[in-house]
Amino acid sequence: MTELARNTGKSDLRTEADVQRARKSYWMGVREAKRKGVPVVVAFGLLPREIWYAMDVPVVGAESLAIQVSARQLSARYCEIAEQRGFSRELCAVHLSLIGMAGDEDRDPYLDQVFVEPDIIIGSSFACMSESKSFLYWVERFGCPFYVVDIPPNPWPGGVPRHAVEYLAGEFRRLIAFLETYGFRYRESRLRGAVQNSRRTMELWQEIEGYRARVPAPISAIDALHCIGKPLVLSLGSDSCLQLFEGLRDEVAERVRSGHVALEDERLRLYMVGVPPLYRLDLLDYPARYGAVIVKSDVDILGGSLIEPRLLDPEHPIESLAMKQIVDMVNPCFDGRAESAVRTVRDYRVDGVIGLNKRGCRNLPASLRLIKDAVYREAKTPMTVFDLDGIDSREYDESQVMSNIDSFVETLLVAGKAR
Amino acid sequence: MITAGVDVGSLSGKAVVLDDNRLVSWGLVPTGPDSAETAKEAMDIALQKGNLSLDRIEFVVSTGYGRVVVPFAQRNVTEISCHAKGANYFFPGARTILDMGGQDCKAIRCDANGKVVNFAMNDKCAAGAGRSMEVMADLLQIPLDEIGPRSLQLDQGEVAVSSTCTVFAKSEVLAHVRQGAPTNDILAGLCAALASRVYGLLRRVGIEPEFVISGGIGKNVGVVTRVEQKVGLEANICFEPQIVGAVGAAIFARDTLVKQKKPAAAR
Amino acid sequence: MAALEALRSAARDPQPVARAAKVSGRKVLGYRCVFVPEEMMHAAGVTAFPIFGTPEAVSLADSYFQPNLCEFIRNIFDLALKGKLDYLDGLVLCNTCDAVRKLYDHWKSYIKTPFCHMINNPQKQFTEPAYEYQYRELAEFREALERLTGAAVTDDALQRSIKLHNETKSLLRKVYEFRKPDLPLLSGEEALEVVMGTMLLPKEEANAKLAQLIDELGTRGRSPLAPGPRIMITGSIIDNPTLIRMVEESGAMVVADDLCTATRYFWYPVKEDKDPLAALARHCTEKPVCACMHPAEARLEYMMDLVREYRVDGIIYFNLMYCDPFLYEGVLFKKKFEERGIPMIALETEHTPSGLGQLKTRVQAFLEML
Repeated sequence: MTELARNTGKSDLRTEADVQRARKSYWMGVREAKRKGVPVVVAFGLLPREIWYAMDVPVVGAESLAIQVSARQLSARYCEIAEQRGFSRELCAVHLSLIGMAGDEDRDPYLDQVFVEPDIIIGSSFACMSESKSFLYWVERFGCPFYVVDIPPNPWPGGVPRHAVEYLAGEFRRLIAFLETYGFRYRESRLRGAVQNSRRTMELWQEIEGYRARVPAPISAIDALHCIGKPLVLSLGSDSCLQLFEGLRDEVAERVRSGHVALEDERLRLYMVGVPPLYRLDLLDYPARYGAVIVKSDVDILGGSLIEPRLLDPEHPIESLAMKQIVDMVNPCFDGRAESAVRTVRDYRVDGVIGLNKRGCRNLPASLRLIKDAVYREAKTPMTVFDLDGIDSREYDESQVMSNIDSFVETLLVAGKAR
Repeated sequence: MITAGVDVGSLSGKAVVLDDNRLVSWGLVPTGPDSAETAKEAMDIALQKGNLSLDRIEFVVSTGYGRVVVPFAQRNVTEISCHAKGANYFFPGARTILDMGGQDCKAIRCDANGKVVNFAMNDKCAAGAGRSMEVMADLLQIPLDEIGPRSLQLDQGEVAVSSTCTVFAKSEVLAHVRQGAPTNDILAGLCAALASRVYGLLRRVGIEPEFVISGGIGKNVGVVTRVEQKVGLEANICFEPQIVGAVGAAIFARDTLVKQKKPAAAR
Repeated sequence: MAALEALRSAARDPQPVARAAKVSGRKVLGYRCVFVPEEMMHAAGVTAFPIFGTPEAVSLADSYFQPNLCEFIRNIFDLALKGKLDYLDGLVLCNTCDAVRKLYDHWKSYIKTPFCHMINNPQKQFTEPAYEYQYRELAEFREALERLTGAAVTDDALQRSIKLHNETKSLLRKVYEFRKPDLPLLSGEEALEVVMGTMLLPKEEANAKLAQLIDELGTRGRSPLAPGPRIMITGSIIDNPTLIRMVEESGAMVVADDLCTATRYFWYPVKEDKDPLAALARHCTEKPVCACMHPAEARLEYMMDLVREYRVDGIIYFNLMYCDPFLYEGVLFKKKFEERGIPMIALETEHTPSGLGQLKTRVQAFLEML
């Protein structure tokens, strides 16, 4: 058995420190804006950060807030407050904790540091019903003006039809017009620049993913969470995000050149589908004891999936953003989801897939069987599925989770999957 | 005017006899397999204590989960309305009532007349109610009435019991036992878990003074103290918290009778 | 009460209705949701068959969906896996909740009927762009139907279908008039089965039955209900009368119901317009009957209309477990209704309730509160 390379849930990439700094400065920027009287927007549903950036809108992404609070082990507290307000425990913990945060009368010192009361709320129908409904509680609670962006899901097997892209592009234009009435200025040139940044970021991301596919893997899923997922959620399209990706690409390339790997004696490569326990990220290091490394996980795409850079055309920035949003993997759309899982398994030479069933989520968990069947059929790769709520720690049972991983890895070893 | 209230709960049957507004007597028996029989047993005790026979009772209202099978009741009313009415009888200032019974807990808000204005009930399972306390007392082999006092005498510190289901909480408790946690600390964890659950329930209806606790767990000082701390109010608990629902039922019986007699007198 | 019995028995056993349509040689398309225009399917010469669940326990579907997904949808998928929907030539869904969207994915992969279509309707209503987008989606649906049948869906046929279905809706409204008196002449349990039966039967037949039912109710004379508080039922889908019966047995008169199997189905007629497709697109983007849709205020207003029209004393909100849109809406609307002086209670239920005991206590306590 290989010794644990590390057991921290943290990344040892240099870029990680840069990401931390960028995040800190982003949040300080929002607070600063609030102090100066600039309206602060809280946005639900991973809407294009390019628009915020291009219009200098200080935005708190609701999902970012939920993730941060979970990482601080505070989700349980906020979920409980939401339940006291009458919301069912069966709902998504991301949204229960968001409701709890809004409804909290006596804020926790940590939340008090990061929480900024919204002046404007932007909701959307993206991803799931929870996204589409929970923001209404915020609207109720803070009594602010709001706008809802309607985002079509993607059930089209033959590609996204023009009228859907046009509809969403129109929704984005109306969002921009709405924001303009609060004094934010829209310049198309800036949005073009932001879309250009996103396109370049996607190219760099593709390059990085190319390195990640190597055996042994230069970086792990934890590195990707900190250095890919976090900046994307926060500020895709900004100069700062682009710089972070340039730095990351260089660092990963350097690792590859120097032979630095995520795990010495890598024997098994795993792919984790679903949200890992954000409050116990060191779990992602747990399989290391078997020489197994989680080379890829869905946390990379918390901020939107990796799409073909050419889909982002700076000449048509709004249409590009509409297309990007519709084809995003988080949008309910199975065809893309299962195919992409199969592609990941092939590209990253994955030996086994771990699917996490998050209580309260009706989106991904309801596709796990489809993914399981697809990766087995197309890539002869086994997948295990077990319950784990990545946000709400109240029912987290470490010994159970570990024994699930133990037994799955054992079957992979018995099947002779190890290198 | 002599009326009676019978409350057939999941763990115990209660009967109360009321003469106008005066509490005459009551009976309390464990619930047997036959709810009708349980109701009768409780009623017989109350009648005996009050030196009365059933034919002297002018009107009977039944309540509790077995309320529909009480053969000698003329009307049934839910335990939610009865607990509010009964709490109002003992404490006219009562506005928030927490009833912790055998199978479930209820948070009730009422007005100055003891009329329910809002309520919330916990989910289907028995966790955090009287039955789960019995299960745990059994598991840890200590008498039920020692749980409360012992839970306030910590040895090393409260252990965490997080499960919301009795079955899982049981395995959690067993795990603590295996790890050598002192019994008192486990009891503290159990009482704290229950207090925290019912506090959530109370928050759902909103808390306003005065605060009343009824039901069997009202006798568990470990839970009551912790609930009081969370709520920030002292709880009013009558001398026998288990009969509050039956008292409420007897009051409903009296009110029904008054209403029935009134039009006759007017005519 | 022959018409009443006929409609109720159709609701209780939908299969013969579908099989009868099948025998007539028409294609049968199962559909789910009130935003799928039946009129279009009717005009295309196919039978539109609303799929309901059964009280049967879910078994096969459990290995496809996690248990915390809507039990109603799991129930339908389970029926399909068991071959109990084998009379269907296809499925039509629309963009409503997560569970329906997942049903679409799974149906395509595992059931494989010759036809499976999702109308990707907008979830924001009352806007011109939403209407235009809906129009395109309906045009695509029309083309898909034409490919299926090999025949054009003409505007004429569509006009006629709209007229026929509007007649159904207007007849149902007349039936609902009988719920308005102080003592309603139609119980909530009966009303649910009348609407479900109407949804299931071919509309030509249903309309005749409804006309007859109106005559029957006109001479009914005696209310099937004992006096009690006037209750409106709302929340997730209810496709069997158990819960409503329980409410009425607890002493309430169920006088209104905002449900997919009740008012949501027929409250809004389609405007009879020169361009029938335009009329349907307007209809879909201007009926605020679902918690999946925005803006919520429009839906609240529609519900308040029902409250006023049927003189509702209190609202019982039955929320199917894991039915997210209604779980959120229930909390938000409880406050709004109470501000308007209408008490409301929200109750989480299973699709096939295993025990009604505790539920019944809550319902009864709520009625005592009124």
